[in-house]
Amino acid sequence: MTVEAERIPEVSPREPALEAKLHVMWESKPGIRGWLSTTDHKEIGILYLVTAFVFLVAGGIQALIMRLQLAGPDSQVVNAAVYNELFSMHGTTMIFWYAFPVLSGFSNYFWPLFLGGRDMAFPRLNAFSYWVFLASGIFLYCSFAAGSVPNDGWFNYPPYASREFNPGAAIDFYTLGLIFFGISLTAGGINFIVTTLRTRCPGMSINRFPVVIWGTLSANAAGMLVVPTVSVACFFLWMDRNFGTHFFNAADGGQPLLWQHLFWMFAHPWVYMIVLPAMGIVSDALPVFCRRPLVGYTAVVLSTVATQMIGFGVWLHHMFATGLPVLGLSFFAATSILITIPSAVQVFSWVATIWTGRPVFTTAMLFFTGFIVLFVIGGVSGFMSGNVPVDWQLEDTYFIVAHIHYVLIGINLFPVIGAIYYWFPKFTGRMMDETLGKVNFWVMFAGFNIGFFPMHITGLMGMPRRVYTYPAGLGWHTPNLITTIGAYILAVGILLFFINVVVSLRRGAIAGPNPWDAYSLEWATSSPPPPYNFAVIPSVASRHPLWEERLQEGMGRSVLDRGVVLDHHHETLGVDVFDGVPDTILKMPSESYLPLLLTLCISAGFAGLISHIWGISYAGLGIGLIVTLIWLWPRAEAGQREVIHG
Amino acid sequence: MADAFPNRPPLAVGSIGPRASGFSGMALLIVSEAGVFAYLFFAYYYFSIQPQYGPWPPNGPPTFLYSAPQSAVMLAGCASMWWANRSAARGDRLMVWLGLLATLILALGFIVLQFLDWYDKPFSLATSAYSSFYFIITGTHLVHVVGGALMILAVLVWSLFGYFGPVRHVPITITALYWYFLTVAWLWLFFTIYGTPRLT
Repeated sequence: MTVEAERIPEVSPREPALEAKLHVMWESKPGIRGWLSTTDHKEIGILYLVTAFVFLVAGGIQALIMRLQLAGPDSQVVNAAVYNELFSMHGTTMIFWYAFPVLSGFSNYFWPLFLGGRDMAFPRLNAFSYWVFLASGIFLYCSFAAGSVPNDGWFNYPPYASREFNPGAAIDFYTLGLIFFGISLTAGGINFIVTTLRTRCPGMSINRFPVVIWGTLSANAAGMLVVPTVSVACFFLWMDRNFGTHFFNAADGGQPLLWQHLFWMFAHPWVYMIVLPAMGIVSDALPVFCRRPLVGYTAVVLSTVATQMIGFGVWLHHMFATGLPVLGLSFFAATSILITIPSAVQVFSWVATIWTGRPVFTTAMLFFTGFIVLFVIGGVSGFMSGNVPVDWQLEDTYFIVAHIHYVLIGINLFPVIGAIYYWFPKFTGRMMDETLGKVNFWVMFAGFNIGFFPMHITGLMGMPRRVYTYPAGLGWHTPNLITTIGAYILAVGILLFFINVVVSLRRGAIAGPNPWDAYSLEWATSSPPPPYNFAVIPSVASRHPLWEERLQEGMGRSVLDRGVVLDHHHETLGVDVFDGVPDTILKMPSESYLPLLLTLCISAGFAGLISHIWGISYAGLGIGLIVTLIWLWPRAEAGQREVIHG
Repeated sequence: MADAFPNRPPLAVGSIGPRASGFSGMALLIVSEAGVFAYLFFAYYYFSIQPQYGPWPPNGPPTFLYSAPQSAVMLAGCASMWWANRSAARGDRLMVWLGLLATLILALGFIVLQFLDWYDKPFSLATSAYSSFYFIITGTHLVHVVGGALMILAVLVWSLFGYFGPVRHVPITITALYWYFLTVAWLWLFFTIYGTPRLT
């Protein structure tokens, strides 16, 4: 099959014959083979979401064991060594393997639906980024089977993490696991960015993007720039531990503090990467329940990008207590405080949207408003600890633990669960139960605040983080007991959420295409959307394609029922970056086992590195190169080979 | 029923020039890999501005004996790679083959020179912090050059199979882009490792 050099695409109304043709063309294989070879962004999105929630449960169970241990003084539920492993795996799991992938799940599912395309720019790379995410998580959890679990916290400072003080493979699971995971982040980031630049529908100019696109785009652009830091740091540490280099061991001229710089140059932007897409979800979904457009779209978008930008320049506030020069402390305290301004712009925008709208307090809306409250509390405690003298008092106490949980659970988990309530009808075609949903929200919200607010107090009372137990008589018992009770209430709340998902999957009311009467493009498709997303590529003329008639917004009108027909195998439109004017018909690959195969090769590579059986690594590398060559082999039907027409 | 896309010229179909998704993908991969080098150099400078144990580098500035020819080889590779890409756009297949083959030979020359530079050193990987940096940074670049050479080999084979022509030859363009990046990264490395110790 050959491909013509250029073509004038047909334009047609949406009609059943075309839909049937596209359905056959785009549908995945049935059953398990379909899941293993899928390149459908919606299926990959669901895989991301489910896997991220599995990691959430794993990290949550670790947290619950820790809270049981800390419920009373001199407790013996676990010993100090196990406790170290628990808090290390809890933090690493939640921050890396849950918080970002869960947002990538939403983004994967909705990105082409938001943008009016048929799939991501690189469908196979998309599957690859998922499989590597899964494989790297399994790699990390193999540390339990190997009996050497990472035990130096989620930021893994040397010299505790150096071979001298931490022999065995525990820290190698951490360093190699993060490098492994970084491959997934880089592949995913490239895909999100190129998709946004190139595969949109006509008229989707950058000022019409949903805010979540801006949030995810900022996050992934930042990921391109900062993921290499932690990969370099982990590689240095792995070399130090396994080949005797001297990057971090002070005895031989190394600099332990360099790890902290490299780690936080990554990890502070990362903190914004795992909240900005979630904040974007709220900026898009909250207005639906306020029955009005978002107040200050432009200000919110600029704040989103600005937060990520300033986020590159605040890493040193994690190191205020390491004896750095005063000038450095002052600069980084100033940037850390400055970053509250774009955050506050967004908060005021949400409040103004609720204030001037007619809010409908569905479960999703409750989660979004709850998120605003928690964001403000977490923001204020962050603002406090951004001040150097205050930080010196609070460093390594439970106050910081309270802060990080307010921002991460508050700005990630609450919007995520709200987003599931909001988009569940789109995923499954069924509504989630609202009554159980409201109970779910209030139990989670109460449990969270009962659990984590007292941590501020325990911190101010001087309790250091990461201690596995504490003696009686310091006054720490009561707040710790309350925290433990709250943590278990929060867990019950999350359990109610899972129950609601399972029950609603079977018995939820049928949703219809647009149950919330929302405005954005994903609601113009059926629920769940067909494999090809849009039978004809829509043209958009405003930020709210489905609300145009009511808002009387702008001059033109979006056209959703008539548009470009692309039915010569898998195709989507390529557009120019700013204005969304089509310039190319892009040929898309079909389903493929190659992403999974390449992931298995890379997994073999890492298995060899952790076990020092280098032969496995060489085999993985060699087969991986062959798989890559097959993957990239130019194909005539994809328009990658010159065909001599004669 | 069906009508033409209104008032627009025909659209290109498939992977053509910088409009191919792969071109943007490579540009972003380069951003990420430039990050790898930036952080390696950041770490190097972090040490070099605060040497704690004696001079940095401990054996004096590293020699230009092999590194200067390495720079020349990388730059010459840019020229031959540019020539291959330009010939592809003109449909001159022989010149594409020659350009790619020349770049491949230059890449192999670079790799040989790098090994000579390594064997010339009186220290090894685990001798000191400086030696760790020296081998890890040059080694990271070398691994990337090997990757670039494999890409050149692949597009050379594909060219010999007659896959490319004046319209569709974006894999050559993408490979050229990567080779230019490797050259910039090398010059950056050359300035950092071989140049800056002489600036004091």
